[in-house]
Amino acid sequence: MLTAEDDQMVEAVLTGNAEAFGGIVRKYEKSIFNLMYRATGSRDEAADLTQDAFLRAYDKIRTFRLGRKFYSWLYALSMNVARDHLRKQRRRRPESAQDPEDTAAHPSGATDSGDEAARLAEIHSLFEILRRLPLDDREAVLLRFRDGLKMKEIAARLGLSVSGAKMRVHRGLEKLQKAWGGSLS
Amino acid sequence: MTDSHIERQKAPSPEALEKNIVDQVRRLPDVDVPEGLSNRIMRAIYPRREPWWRTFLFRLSRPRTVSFTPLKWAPVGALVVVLMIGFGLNRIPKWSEPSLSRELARMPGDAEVHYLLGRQLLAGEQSEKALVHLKRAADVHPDRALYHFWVGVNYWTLKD
Repeated sequence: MLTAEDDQMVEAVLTGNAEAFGGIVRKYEKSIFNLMYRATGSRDEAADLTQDAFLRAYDKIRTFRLGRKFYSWLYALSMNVARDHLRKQRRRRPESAQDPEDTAAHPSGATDSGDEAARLAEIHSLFEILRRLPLDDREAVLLRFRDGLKMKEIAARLGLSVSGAKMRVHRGLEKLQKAWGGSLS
Repeated sequence: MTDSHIERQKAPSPEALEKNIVDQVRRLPDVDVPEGLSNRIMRAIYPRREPWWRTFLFRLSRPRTVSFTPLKWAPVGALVVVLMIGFGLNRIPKWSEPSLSRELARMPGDAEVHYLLGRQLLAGEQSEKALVHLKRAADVHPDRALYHFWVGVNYWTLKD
């Protein structure tokens, strides 16, 4: 995630080259789509939200300050899109907010057999447990332990203070442990 | 897995559970992106392109960084100095020899008039006459290095 490379693309977009935004989309669509998928549990909804996030990023690209980390900015913006969506969804159908549409489906949509199937089932169950966590707690845990980010970076992406980020990670891990223990018993 | 086997299993310690969770989270794979998502996004973006005048205004108003590397410009600087010395700075005004002689008759002790006359004579390849005036100028103002320099040049043209 090179800052200079991102800055070049952003500058090209700002000078009227809309095609340059395609480079940004291709570079970050996977991460943002995965964020949205973790938020919604539905591939279709995640695709729609990914599109919304990139459209919002395009509309607000003038507010990005060159020299800063573009991905952190995009991630924070996408988190807001996801939060807005979940808030609307809760208001619309409060009973289904805890019950995503296609939780039975495998995250990658693949079907396998044998050891691979067991491993995928394990991943799926972890995914299910993660989905029960609030969005911010879940993302804090993933950014810390999967992406190996420092607390400062997690704080920037989630729009929190460093102590707030630490608290999210701690709380998220605690909830995850509880949920995991519950699923074992 | 039988019921008796489950009973025999011990509940993992909190540390082991945390380590296990962290390991699992670390290995959590990414979901594949639906095909054509980036094209779909770009199709939605094209109608939102900025009008030309806005991007033009941005081009005008954005700050620019200018870099200067002294070594890169050193040859250019040297060339400018050479040209200035060769064509401008060290040139003497175009006085006519008779007018300078008249000035000298009016102010016989003026070092500058002797110097200018000496330079004119030197330029006219009358080095011996020039040497008299340049030496006189240097005698009147021994602290002016320029006069001594041209005395030296004069001796050089006389091959002395």
